[in-house]
Amino acid sequence: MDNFMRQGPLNDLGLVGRTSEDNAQVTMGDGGRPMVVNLRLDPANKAAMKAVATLVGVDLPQKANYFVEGKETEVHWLAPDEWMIVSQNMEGNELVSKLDEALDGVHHSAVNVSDNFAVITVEGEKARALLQKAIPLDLHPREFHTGMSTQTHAAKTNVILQQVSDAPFYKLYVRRSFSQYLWAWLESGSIGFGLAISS
Amino acid sequence: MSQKFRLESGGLINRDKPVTFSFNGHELKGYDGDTLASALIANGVHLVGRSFKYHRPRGIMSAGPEEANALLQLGEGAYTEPNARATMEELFDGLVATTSNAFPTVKYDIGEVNSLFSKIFVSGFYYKTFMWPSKAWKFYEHFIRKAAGIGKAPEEHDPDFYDKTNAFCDVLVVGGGPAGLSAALSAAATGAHVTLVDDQPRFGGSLMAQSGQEIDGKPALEWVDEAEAKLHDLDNVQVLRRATAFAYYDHNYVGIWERLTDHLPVKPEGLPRHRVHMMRAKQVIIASGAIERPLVFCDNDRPGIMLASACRTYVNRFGAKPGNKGVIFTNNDSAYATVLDLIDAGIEIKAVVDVRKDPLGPLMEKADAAGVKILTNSAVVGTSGRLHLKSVEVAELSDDGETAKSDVTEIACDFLGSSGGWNPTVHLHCQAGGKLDFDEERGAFVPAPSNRTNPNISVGSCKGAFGLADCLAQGFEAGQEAAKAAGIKFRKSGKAPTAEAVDEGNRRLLWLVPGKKPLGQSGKHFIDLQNDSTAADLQLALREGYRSIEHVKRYTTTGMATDQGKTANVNALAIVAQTLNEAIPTVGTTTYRPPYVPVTFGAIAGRDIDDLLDPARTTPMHSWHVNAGAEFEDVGQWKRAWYFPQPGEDMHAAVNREVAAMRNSVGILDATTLGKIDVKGKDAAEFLNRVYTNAWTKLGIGKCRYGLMLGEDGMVMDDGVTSRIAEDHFLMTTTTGNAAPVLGHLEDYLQTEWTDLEVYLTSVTEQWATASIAGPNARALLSELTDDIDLSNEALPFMAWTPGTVAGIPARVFRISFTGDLSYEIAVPADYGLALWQALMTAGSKYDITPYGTETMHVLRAEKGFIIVGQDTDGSITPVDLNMNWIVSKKKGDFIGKRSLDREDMSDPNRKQLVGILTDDPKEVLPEGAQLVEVVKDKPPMDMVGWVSSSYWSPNCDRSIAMALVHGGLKKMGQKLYSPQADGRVIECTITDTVFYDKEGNRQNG
Repeated sequence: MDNFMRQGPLNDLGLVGRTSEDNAQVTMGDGGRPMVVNLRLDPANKAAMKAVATLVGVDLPQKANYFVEGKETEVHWLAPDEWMIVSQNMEGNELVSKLDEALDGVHHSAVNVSDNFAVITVEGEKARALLQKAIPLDLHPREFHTGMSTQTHAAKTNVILQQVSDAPFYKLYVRRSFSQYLWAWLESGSIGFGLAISS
Repeated sequence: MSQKFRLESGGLINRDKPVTFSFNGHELKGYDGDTLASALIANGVHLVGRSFKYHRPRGIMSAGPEEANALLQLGEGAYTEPNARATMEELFDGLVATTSNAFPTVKYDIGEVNSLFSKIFVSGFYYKTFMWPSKAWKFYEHFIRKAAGIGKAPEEHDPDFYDKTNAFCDVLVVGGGPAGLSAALSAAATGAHVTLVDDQPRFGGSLMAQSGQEIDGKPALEWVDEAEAKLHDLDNVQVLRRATAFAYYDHNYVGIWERLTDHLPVKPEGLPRHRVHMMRAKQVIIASGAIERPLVFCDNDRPGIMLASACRTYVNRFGAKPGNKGVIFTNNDSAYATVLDLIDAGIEIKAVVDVRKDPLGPLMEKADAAGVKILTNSAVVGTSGRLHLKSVEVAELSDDGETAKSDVTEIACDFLGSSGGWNPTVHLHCQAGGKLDFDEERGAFVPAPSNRTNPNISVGSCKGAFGLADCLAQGFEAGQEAAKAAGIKFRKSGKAPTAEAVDEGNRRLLWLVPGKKPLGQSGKHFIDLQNDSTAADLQLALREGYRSIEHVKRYTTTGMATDQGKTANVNALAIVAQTLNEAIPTVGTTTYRPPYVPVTFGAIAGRDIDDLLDPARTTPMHSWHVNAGAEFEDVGQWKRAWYFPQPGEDMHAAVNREVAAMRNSVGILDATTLGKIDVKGKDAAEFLNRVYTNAWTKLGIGKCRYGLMLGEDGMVMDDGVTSRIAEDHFLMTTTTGNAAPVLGHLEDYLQTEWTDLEVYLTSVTEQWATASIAGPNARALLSELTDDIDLSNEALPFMAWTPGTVAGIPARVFRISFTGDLSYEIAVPADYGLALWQALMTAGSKYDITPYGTETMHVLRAEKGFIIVGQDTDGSITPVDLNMNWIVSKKKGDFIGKRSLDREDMSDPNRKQLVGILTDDPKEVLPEGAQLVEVVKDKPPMDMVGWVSSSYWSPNCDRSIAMALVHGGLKKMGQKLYSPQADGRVIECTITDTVFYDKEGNRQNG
């Protein structure tokens, strides 16, 4: 399959050609096309949990609204029996096959949803102020900080919000059909902050 | 010197920064730090507007958000702002203000003739007079609306930009006066996250209006500056000036309206005009202060008559004189503070008219010692001066205070300050669901302890604690209490700021000051200046039988409109109580509703405007459709290609071409938007058995089946094709608009009703992009793009699917059809949707492949009689009504809606049923929604037997086709119906079955 045929949902925005404003206090960017696999599994099944951990390289987080990092993966807690597995290197259908094989006979569901999402990155001095306009959760570091990932909404779309670093650097996983709307909303909300586009 | 009424010195204005502004076309000067109102007063502008109903001349009556008269039109063109309170608008260079409600000028206003007829313009005048004949109301209304009302809304698009943000804190302090500052300081010291908001450009609240106050042994304003500096330096404190907490909702959700640029002559780029902070606070401290209550006396609305505290504010805060010689009219000691400060400023006080028989109070004593003329047990019984106050008439009161003695003294004066005591600003407390207690001594409603839903504490004068010492002490206590309640751990330390405690003196509550004649016979006792409602109006309402204060309010309009009765309400209900001979708490207050002050719509909308009002969802192929010139249709939030007009084509022509092209060769439709749900688990088939009306257990792997989903009421809720991927794995599709509700419905059942089933659902709507190719050449086209799929009828029959590779992309190919023709739906990972579409278009060019939109899809499916849920159903239609009994399993166990289908009414043969409709004139296309009758009468009403749900021109049938829901329609095949149209025509038609094209169904087999 030729890679040039692949079109991410933010491609239409022409971000590559965009110039950044001077003294930008917030930077937004296209977070690329990571592999995303949605996994449903009963966490009480210790053997199954262990089998998954072996495949993804890290124990599935059981603390609500946190993510953990493995060597090649990031695993986000979405619900007591639901996780989002993200990887820059793995291939979705391949991981799903491996999970199905490892969990043969165990009630589970592993679904490749890599194309389901767009990823928007937001970072910089005013990143939190910008996101706080759209998101009704308290993003102050004492409530939401690096290492956390949560399902919430931004403006009028659902998102999975992840804080990657203290910079702060955030990633928003948004359903692809909403991604251009959300980008435009955030860009509109950034008026006055100065906006840079990351490459 | 232009500012004739400006004091030589004093005030919190910057005399080094003069400001030029215009009022009604006159250029005037003021100073930085002025409000529009204070600058007008300094310029001796006493007449600023005309009243709402009687067009009476009015002047500035307050110095705060309670202003009911000085509602001016600000700015011009698209920037114009109606009904701005002059008392709240900071002056800036270039500000333009005009009077709203006067024609041709504020001095000579034609509308003042209303005043001559005021005896008939009483409460309910419009209701009573213009109710007959009832049809003429629209005619009357035009003129009534024009005469009433005040400012003008701009007609252009608002060029300003507005912002809105979520906000959070441990302790929100509303009000930056002494109580609020004390609370903020003590809460901040605990480490709590504190937000302090105040509606003024600087903190201090009432202290700015006062003189000689000391806190912790220093001048009060010095203490304020230090407090502000301290708060500013703390990381855990956010300070918002020019910000009004305007609404208090459940769970301490408080709307704060911040004005960022209104006061600036040049608006900085990138700064929003207003910003709403949607604050979720753990605890709220309300320190909103109190508003002085005017006395209700005869002709109390002339320009020059204002609140006593406003006179003091203009002198102390703005260095502006309300006049040269004044009378102060009071029932309590606080007005004497005004007397003393005004005398200090060199203003002559002709007399203090005090209704008390035996006034007590330290301030009164000081004034007395200073030689001020104090008339006790006396009242102002009349005023004169048409455009500006000239004199007041004073008389002694009778013993009970209900009448005035006839011996009247006239006192010449050019302003009057009145004080009837103070009303705590309890609006936020009440919006939060808080109750009120009545303080009999002060004649004021004060907050009762707060409730658990909205934990908040009122402190200071909004709690009825009017002394500075109490304000500071209560604020300090509350700050710590709120921090503790918010879960902050801290060691108690520090102590409350202190001030000298002052005796409040005594009061005499005289709610309705008598005039020279009985009420209503001469002059007007205004209660609500903004609505022109009077004490006589209230009494009229009571005579007419209104008893509830809420009814009296609406009948007389007292306390309505933008000021929400800040100065009117308590006087009104006290007078109602007095008239009814009831206790004031028995009558009760009207409801305090948000917003506390008018808030711009722009600020409430924030960034959710224009294209961002609602998400526009797009498919991976969207850019192709745009480039191809498609028109789009909103389906839910999706933008779906509606039709693809070629140059010169209208919708009708484009659709006809697209419909014919699909049936003749091959068409292509973007079907990405359909909802898709991955259903996984060993009980998946049983799950489908329960959610669909038909049976699923025996569906083979690689096969597809159409399903109808019912609600619990047995009515059709959704439909779609579900395919079996593996023994324990299905892919369900839903209608475009119902994807999320269906998933929610199914999850609800799995999590609450059928916890025994091992099934997991995952939404994959957006994982797949789907191109549907249909028409006789569909197979030939697809075969060119795949070499690993056997497309023969045997290998891939109708209602089967297979994985494979299409155009080099891993795909799922479904042989399903919504057109009745040979059709393949090709689903690929969404990132490859555009590539797939382009490959199909390129390869399809030799077949003259035609992209078509939703309109053509609708025609094609209607030719085959396929329903659209939500168009041919309306939530009251069962499968039986749709003549789809075949899809309702009689053998399998329970499914959602099954029991409802057994209700007696469901088998009524006269239910509305879906039938086909053919017009007798084949060229006539019935309008969708058209009503159908069996017997045509000369005019409505006629007995309607049904209505048209779908109607199109069908190029393939070369005639119009329609579907309709008709009572007992299935038993009426061949019967004539008539559709009377709005233009008087009657369209004749005949009931048929719903399949209009390829009745044998051969085409979909290819």
